Amino acid sequence: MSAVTRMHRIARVCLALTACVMAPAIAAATPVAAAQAAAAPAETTARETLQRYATALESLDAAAVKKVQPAIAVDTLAKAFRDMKELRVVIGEVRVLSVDGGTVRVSCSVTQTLTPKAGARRTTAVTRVVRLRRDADVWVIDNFER
Amino acid sequence: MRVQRLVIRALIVPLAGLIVAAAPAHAQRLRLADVLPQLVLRDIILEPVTPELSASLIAQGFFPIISHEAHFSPFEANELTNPAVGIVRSFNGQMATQFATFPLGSSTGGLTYVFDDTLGTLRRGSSSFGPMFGERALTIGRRKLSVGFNYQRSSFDTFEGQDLGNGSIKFYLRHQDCCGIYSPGPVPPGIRVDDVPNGTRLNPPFESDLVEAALSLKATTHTTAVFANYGLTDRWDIGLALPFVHVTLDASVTARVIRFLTAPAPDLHTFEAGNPDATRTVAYSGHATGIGDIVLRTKYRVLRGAGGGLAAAVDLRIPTGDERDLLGAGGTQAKFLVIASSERGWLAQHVNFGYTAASGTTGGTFPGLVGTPLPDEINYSGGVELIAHPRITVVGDVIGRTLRDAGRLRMVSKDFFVPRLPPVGPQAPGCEGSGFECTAVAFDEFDPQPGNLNLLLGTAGVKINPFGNWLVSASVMAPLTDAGLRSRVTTVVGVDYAF
Repeated sequence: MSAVTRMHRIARVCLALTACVMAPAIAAATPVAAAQAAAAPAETTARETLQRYATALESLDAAAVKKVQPAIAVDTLAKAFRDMKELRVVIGEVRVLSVDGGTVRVSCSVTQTLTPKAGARRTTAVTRVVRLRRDADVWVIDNFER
Repeated sequence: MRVQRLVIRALIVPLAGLIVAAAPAHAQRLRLADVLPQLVLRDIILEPVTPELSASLIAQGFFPIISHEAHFSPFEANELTNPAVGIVRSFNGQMATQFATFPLGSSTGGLTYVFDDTLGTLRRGSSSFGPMFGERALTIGRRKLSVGFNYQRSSFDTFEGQDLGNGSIKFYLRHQDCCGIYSPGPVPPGIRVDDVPNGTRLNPPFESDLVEAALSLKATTHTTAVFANYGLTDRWDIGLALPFVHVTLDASVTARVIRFLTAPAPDLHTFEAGNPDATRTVAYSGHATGIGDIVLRTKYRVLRGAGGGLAAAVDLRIPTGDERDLLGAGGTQAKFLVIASSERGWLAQHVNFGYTAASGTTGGTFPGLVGTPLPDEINYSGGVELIAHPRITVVGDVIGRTLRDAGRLRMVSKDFFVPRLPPVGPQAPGCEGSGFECTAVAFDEFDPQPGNLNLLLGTAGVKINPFGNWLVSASVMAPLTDAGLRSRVTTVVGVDYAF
């Protein structure tokens, strides 16, 4: 056996061994990559949905909010809006927590600045976990988990 | 921060003035709770019997020639069993009790916004700014603070339906049972005078004379109560009410002798020698300023409901006010309250029911005059709040208090007996023991009677949010019954600020 042939054989064994050692790691890396790949459009979807939600809140129109969050108590929300002169809503720090078929869980910060009809302007900031779901062709807010 | 400084300045400046003004209260000679006993039971003194008068009376055959000047003054005569003492004591005790426990307005943190998880946005805790005197179940919210003050003016006009200011309340001072027993001996015929009381106030016959003491009283309180409420949690509030009280009292008593059997010798019982119809007026005007009874409050919302729910509250009223100057009740009161309230559309309702356990006595510390126990109370109130505009709430309340076993003073017609001369013997019907037959003469006078005292007040007012987080309120309160001590109209104005 020539020296060249021996070297080729050693190289093949090393490759095989490397493949054996690395296989589990490669196998594990694949879902993360897949999830990352899935999260990217999910995050975009979530941002768009939450922006529609923020815009609906700012319009002080309970029916508009219901289109983004169908389960909302429209009458109660309309009553709350009646006490408002202006509402500014900023949703940021959107982070996808999980993607499961037609459902996406995201965490986000919600900052609201309320100018009420009675009382002084006030700002509140909360972190919320939102479950989004696909409803026909649009994404909507299923519920707020916290 | 500028608003906070303004609030602090608005609260501190008037309070500092009140505290400074409080200093002279302790320098007064006569404490306000002692004014009525002093005027009615001590200060009504007759003209002393002069040597000339004495000689004149001896010439007319009267016995004995002793001074009668203190005979209608139970305290000067050291006669605490005189019926007038009990009547004045009851009157004074009830006045003092009701004076010092008059309801204080409530501060319920009218402007609150909370983050509603289910709505995903802020909403007003209630569209109503809350009641004036009652309480609602709504709490202020976690880490929320509201402060404010109420100014309340009460001018007390009537007591048990009788006008306080026009002299229509009359006390009848009985002559001291100073002396004398009936003795059917020959000289003097039928009458013997010595220094042994016989328990009838009829023998000697001059004991049947009365002094009518007509009271005119003007009593006014100005109370500035500083409030603070803080939300420990979304359901649990704690609070404080610190009242500063200014009381003015103008009292006068006009006395006249009702002469039954001293007409032949009027100077025996007179306020001016030679003038049998003379009257005597004793008067006192005074004021006191100081801290009233501090109230510590806590409220816990047990159940949430639409715009309210169900809550339990405890008010602890600490006797920091000086009861001798009518600034405080003289005892500790713990009020346990159940509160229910709701809101629907433009109308909110609230009902309160509670019990106040009290300890201590009130009514001053006049020597010889026992204080009146501070009564327990059953408290109830209800009302509606009309949300006329997001910035305006119109409020109506009915406030009930049952002062348990506080007793009533009822104006009744009382018979006073006048002996008919000459004596007929110890067993004379109607006035046994006096030796005389009697004629009854009736006068209207308060009569202490056992039982509960039910007080009912109605209030109406408005709360307005002029700008920012300020809340301005104004209301009037009026009694709905004749019972007890009444202020025809009590006015209340207040300012709240929610942080």
